[in-house]
Amino acid sequence: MQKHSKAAHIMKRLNFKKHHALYIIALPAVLLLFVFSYIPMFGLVMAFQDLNIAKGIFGSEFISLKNFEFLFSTTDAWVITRNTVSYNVIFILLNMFLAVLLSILLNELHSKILAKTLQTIFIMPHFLSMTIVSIIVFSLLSVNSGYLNRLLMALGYDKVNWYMEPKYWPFILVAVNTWKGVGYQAVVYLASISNISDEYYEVAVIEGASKLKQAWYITLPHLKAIISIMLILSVGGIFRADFGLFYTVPQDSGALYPVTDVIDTYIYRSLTTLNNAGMATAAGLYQSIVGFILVLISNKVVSRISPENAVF
Amino acid sequence: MAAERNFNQISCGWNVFISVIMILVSLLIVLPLILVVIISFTSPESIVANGYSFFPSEFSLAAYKNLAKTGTQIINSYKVTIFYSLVGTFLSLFIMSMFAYVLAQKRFPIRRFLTIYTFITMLFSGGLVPSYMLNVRYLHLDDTIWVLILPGLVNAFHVIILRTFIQTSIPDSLFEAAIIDGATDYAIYFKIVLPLSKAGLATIGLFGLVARWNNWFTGMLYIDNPKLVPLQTLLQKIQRNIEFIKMNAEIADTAGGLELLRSMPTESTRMAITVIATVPILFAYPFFQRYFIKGLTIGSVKG
Amino acid sequence: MRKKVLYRIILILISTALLLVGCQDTSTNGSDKTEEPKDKTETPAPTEATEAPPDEKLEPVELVWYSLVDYERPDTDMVWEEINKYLSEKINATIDYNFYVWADYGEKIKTAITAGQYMDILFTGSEFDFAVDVKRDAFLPIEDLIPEYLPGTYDLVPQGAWDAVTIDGHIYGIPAYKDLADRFSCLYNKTMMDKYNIDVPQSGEWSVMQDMLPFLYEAKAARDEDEPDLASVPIMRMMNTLRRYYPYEELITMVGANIPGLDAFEGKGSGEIAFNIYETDEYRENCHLLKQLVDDGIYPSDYTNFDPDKTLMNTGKLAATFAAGYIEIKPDMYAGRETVLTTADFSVMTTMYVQSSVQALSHQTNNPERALMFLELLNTDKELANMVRFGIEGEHYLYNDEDRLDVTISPRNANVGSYSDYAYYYWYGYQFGNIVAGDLPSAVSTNFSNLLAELNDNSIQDTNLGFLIDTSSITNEFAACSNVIAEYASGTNLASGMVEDVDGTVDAFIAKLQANGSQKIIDEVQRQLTDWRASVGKTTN
Repeated sequence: MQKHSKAAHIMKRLNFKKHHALYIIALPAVLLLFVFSYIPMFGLVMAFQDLNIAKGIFGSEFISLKNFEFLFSTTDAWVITRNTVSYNVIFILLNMFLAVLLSILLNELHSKILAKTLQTIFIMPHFLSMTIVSIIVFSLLSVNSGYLNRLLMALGYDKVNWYMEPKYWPFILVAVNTWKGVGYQAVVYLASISNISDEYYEVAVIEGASKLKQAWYITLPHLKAIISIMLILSVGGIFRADFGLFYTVPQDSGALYPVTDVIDTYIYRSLTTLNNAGMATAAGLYQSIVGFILVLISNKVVSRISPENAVF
Repeated sequence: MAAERNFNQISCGWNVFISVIMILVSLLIVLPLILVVIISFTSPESIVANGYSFFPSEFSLAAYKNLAKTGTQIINSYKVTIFYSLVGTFLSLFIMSMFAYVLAQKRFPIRRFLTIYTFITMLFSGGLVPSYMLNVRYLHLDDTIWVLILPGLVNAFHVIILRTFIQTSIPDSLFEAAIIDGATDYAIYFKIVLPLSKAGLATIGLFGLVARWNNWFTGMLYIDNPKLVPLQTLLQKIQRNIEFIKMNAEIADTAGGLELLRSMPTESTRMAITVIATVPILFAYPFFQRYFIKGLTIGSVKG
Repeated sequence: MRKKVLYRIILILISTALLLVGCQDTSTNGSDKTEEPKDKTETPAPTEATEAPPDEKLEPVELVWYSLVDYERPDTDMVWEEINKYLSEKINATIDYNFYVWADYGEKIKTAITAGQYMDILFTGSEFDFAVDVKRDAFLPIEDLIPEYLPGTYDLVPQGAWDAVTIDGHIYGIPAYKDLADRFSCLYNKTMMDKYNIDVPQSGEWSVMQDMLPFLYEAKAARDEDEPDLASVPIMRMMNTLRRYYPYEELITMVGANIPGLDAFEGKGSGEIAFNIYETDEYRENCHLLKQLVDDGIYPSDYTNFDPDKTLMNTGKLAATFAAGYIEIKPDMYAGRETVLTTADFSVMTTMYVQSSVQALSHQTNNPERALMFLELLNTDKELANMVRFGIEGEHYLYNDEDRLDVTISPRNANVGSYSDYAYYYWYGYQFGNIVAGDLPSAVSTNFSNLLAELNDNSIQDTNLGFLIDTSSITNEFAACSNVIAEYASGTNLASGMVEDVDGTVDAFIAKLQANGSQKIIDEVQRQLTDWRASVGKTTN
């Protein structure tokens, strides 16, 4: 008796009759996600297996959490975690701040042509691969022939062996990441700003509000939703790092590991000889789970403050 | 009209100040890019003698000639990449925006569930091996154009951004009014959502197009047919071979490895690769730009 | 209503596309199709063995082969059509040939194996995780089939090489008959040495890198005096591989054993003791030496992006380059001057070296006998060997006046700019097995095969060939130590010669290794080694 009414209750809640169009419209995306994202998730089971090729994924032995141990059994466990999270926090906040600032400023320039040209330039670094970027950075920082050292020597200072001095690299890495990412991220905010109705500004001008006030009371509030979404989604990736940035750009230089070793580079280097598919999967799963929990928390926090700005 | 257009501008003084600062910053940004182009036109001998320089002692087209040797292959790759990038982006925008529209409707009963359903795919992935098994063994997508189009059609991150755009730029009252008028959801999508989401669509369209254009990995893993090899797969192959040999000292240390290193293309060729891979996308870019750089200043009258 | 129809049409289109894709025949790559239908045509294994000679009784079989090439060659399809015709006649088999270049092959084969992709034969080696794949049962043991199907190849390849691919009594792959022993070689710039009157140790007169330093110092001094603006240019490329200074057998990363007869590491026995190479005095000394050599301008500083072989070696500014695996060279291999090969006085057959080119059978192959028959042909049949390496006679190669196989006079291969431009040419072609199975190309002397045999037959053998470490009890320590090694021992740190405080850094390195369980690894490896040696009856001398 109870079960029957529960099923009927659910069907009534789902309300196919009234909203059948919405269900159908959503269907292709839901199906595609199911096929290409959810079905492959069965592979996550490898994280708990001692994978044997002859037995295959469906026949290999389960070894519970053993594949996860290597992530914690290194003396560097704290260092890599600290590095990954700190860099990500800086990247997220800094890039967001600069991207929003950039998008607002670009919209204020008198010359449309200048604005468009500048914006194109700002977005171009995104198109270079980290490999090329690392070559360029090397041309700057190479001990004997790099621009910086040549400049230093011309000015009478000593050469610096950049690839062996950890203390400069947090700045270098942040600079590279910002250079590459801000212009691209700004596109999202530019698009949002272009959606703000002019009426608001017309009213503000009539009321005598300065540009600064307009930005603070009109533009930013309208960006609140997209900013908070971007923030929450970025938090999901806080345990992941850009391998190209932290491995390729510093040329995998051992002396720099204290400031450039992140979770992803650690995983890569650990598995060079072992090449264990189970461990690799376990590492990725670990990163996903932590990110997921953090998103849930930050989403909860945001939905307490202003529900419409949360992801879900 | 002219008078109205200027009524909310910043002062000339501020304009100049901000412009100058931004131009200076942009110069800093663009400098490395210019260096890339210059290196691609520098002769290898000059690089050996003097390293990289903005003013090389000798220019040469050797790098580009090197690449032209692949001949028809590059043209094929351009063709196939343009095709699947455009088709993929178009289809993807269509499907994702429909989905985003549904997710933006508060009246949709399983809205929260589907949002979480989508979002989970952003964080959790089975990895390369199960996708490979799915695509090759069960769907038989390997070595077809479809493997370059289908798997990436729905990107959770983009869907959520599109949903946010719809939520913030189209007021609920508009939807409610349309429903009261008796419009179907399909009609609302085509007549209201699409026209008012141009900025969001252009943004995600750009992101999607760039991602597809730059993707070399899918082609490397699944495509053997020369007619279907994407551009970046072709170009990155050279790049990655160099790195592979360098990273594997065991190989580099042997007769075969040395021969390989000797006949590998130089730094200038790698830069040339970057140039010819990136330039086409930059041509496509202004098309998107006009949708999100709007008008002179905030406050200009629309139309 | 119209929109609804439009919408439905699109939905149908997408579903149709998915269906079409699912049903269509994957024309170029039939690998996954061979799972069901094809293997039914194969005759049951036992009876086939007795029917080998009369070919008509063999069912046609398609073998899936995953292999490596250094360059993709445009005429590959054309050549393989011919090869398949030939194979059909000989063993009624054709090859579904899947080949990839170095950088791609690693990724592809790793994914394909883990995903259970069907294949019969695959190329593998130490760079492609041969050891790991053996441990996880990716390969089919073939020792039972060798006497019947691979007799020629078995005699050809030296016993030491077979030992290197025999693990726990099972043979998991077929080493290619090429240079199977690691012999350190120097190619020196004779023109420069003659000019400055410098003597270079000849073949057999030197053993390790230290022996060659005197002449390098002489060369640098002479060259810099003669051409002062070259003072900042090193005299050769970086050589920081430890075993070129102190030969040892690498059991696994970080763990080594001495090579009997050489015993380069003091107090570490002759192959029965496993030790941490980074904790030895020899390693520390070598780090000091590298620093000295970089400071003195012998080796390049900042070498990771420096590619002298591409350009400087060609311009004659360097005195020499070092490598392994050269059997012979032509004096004019570098334009504008004479180059001479001098080799160390010993060569070592090491597991790593042997495993650098192995053909293995996948555990899931349905046609192991036919696969081995193919591999036997590949290693012993002259016509086939010529075809896979040199292409089609008359198109890609011709026999010249001296009756040598010459690719440069053929219609499709003439007028090529460099090695990468040939329409079809794969010399040495070790990925195709026995490199001297076919004719010797005109690029090498007629003495080549003899020199090759000399190298292989006169080599010292590592004592522990075939010893494979089971890392399952030390995975975590290993993972952690791999990182420490990447941090300290790599070419950007101690191996660059640019570290100021060598002793301090080495101390820190050792301390960190120990903190991450290196001793546990050594103890475990030693335990397994001692057990293994006892089980195969090795006595310590």
